[in-house]
Amino acid sequence: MAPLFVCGDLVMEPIREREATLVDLLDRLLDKGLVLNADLVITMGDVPLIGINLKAAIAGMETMLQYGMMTEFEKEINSEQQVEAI
Amino acid sequence: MSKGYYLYCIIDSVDDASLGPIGIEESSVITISNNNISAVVHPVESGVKIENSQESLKWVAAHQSVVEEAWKRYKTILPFAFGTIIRGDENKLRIWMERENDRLVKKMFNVRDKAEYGVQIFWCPSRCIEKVVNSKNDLMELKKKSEGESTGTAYMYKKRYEKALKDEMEHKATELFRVFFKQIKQCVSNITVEKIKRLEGDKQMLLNVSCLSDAEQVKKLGDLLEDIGQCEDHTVRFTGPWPPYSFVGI
Repeated sequence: MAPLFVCGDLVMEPIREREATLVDLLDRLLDKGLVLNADLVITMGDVPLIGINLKAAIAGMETMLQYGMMTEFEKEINSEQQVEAI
Repeated sequence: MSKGYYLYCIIDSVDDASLGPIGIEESSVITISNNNISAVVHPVESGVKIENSQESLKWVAAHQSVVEEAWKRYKTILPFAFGTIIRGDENKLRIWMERENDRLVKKMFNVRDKAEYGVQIFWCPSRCIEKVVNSKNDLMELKKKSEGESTGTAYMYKKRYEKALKDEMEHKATELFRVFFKQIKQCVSNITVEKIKRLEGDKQMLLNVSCLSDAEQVKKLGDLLEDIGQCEDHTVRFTGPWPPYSFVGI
């Protein structure tokens, strides 16, 4: 499990490891960001429902990851996401 | 002709470019410019349907990956929420960008050279009970009485003690929130309060905020959080840098 925070010269450094921050990422992508007026938008499935399902799936996934399951899927997503700190 | 455009972000550059097949389902991501800004998009030909959670997670990862790439390339961006598709052709998108230009440029100015950081502070109330009780004479008194009186009276005092302790712990949590919030606010350009999340076990979230900070401010923030985390009663979770999702809404 990644450390929750890293200390260096007594200044806490923010973390971006996917395993530790996936929920933070979902909170932002699904609930935040620019939005358009409803009359301009094509509804993509049911995004609020997708959000709920995803968050539920992540909660389950975090448990599975703790037990070492789903590591292949994790690797696949990691290679796609390329979350590099600026 | 496409039926719409999936929107990843707005950038503050005029750049009709192709970012390659890096979008959702390997869609080719392009930029469409209007005036002094551009939208990072991929054309959508038909209705979009997500089959399952694993697939939707891949889509979310792809959305984030494109936003990150644009962020790296163009420095100042306004990210869209996941799943935003504008109806119509390129012209419709340009009309929207023209209409919203002032608002978008203003938002862009607010987030320039800054990134978003998440800060969460936790405590374990059960570990702090003794300190809280010892700091309040009336609570100490009630505790003593709840332990020392005859059975019926002790029960009554026990109930009063539990109620008073609960109120005091809530008061303490609110006070800690206020103190931490004020300290954090002083270090950053902007701050938004997020929902407190319920956690399993004894650990409780005291504060959940998103902060907009430049490079200098984030060092100050890290310094402050290090100090807060040094106290044995609190733990700190500090995440980022994120694209400024929390600072581009209405």
